[in-house]
Amino acid sequence: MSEPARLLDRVAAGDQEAVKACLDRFGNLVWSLARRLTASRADAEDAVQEIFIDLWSSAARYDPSKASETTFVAMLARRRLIDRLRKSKRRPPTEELSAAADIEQSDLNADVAVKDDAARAARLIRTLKPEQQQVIKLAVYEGHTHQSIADALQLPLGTVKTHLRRGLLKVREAMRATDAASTGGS
Amino acid sequence: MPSPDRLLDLLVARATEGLPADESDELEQALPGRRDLGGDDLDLAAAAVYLAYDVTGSHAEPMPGTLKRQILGHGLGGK
Repeated sequence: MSEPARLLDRVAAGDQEAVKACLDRFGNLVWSLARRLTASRADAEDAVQEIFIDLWSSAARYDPSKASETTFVAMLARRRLIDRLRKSKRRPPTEELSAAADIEQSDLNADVAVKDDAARAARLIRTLKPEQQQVIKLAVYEGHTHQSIADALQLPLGTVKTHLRRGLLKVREAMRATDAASTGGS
Repeated sequence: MPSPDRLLDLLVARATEGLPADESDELEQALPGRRDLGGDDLDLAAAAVYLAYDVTGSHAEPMPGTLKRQILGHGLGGK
């Protein structure tokens, strides 16, 4: 999957045409994130509007050497949605947590190009122990708190935090390594 | 100045479950002096992990047309 030619640069430069292009390219992704991490459709609509306003003002911060535009947009969206979740003190229902903890390799997205950040993350996740995969999926994809994951999986809270820390650091290193390789190690 | 270990804990928490205001302030004050920790890097890693699991999400339900038109109507005005 090839990324668009610096769509976010056009937004940062104030190109109004880029607004529609951004919505066309990232709208469904942001909407799906909002639906997953908000309690209602109305909350999701409010959140998506906030996310795109944030995107317009943050576009100039995009650094193509660190991540794809899609990953950058997903990061902005997740950060705002997580903040809203925390403030509302709402989280996905705990009863869904145990079922979501079951890990199947088919959970991981295979429908992405080899060089995409998500594909790199998926390859890295597959190398982790099942318990680490469970913790990462529950926290990052399902939106559960560290404490609720510890309770559901009957793990010490410190173990949950360690799994998350190690897992995210490994993904970060994998993303950096690929960036270095693609720029000739510079 | 918080220790590097403490800052990493805060970065992981921000990327996964969010931070309360006091810890968010602590992180924002400390990060400019710790470029080695990568700023947004763990948030980007978490976003990549999310996308790795998002097998059908982006295709399951398109963004409502009315919402799209609202955002288009504002343009970059909210910038």
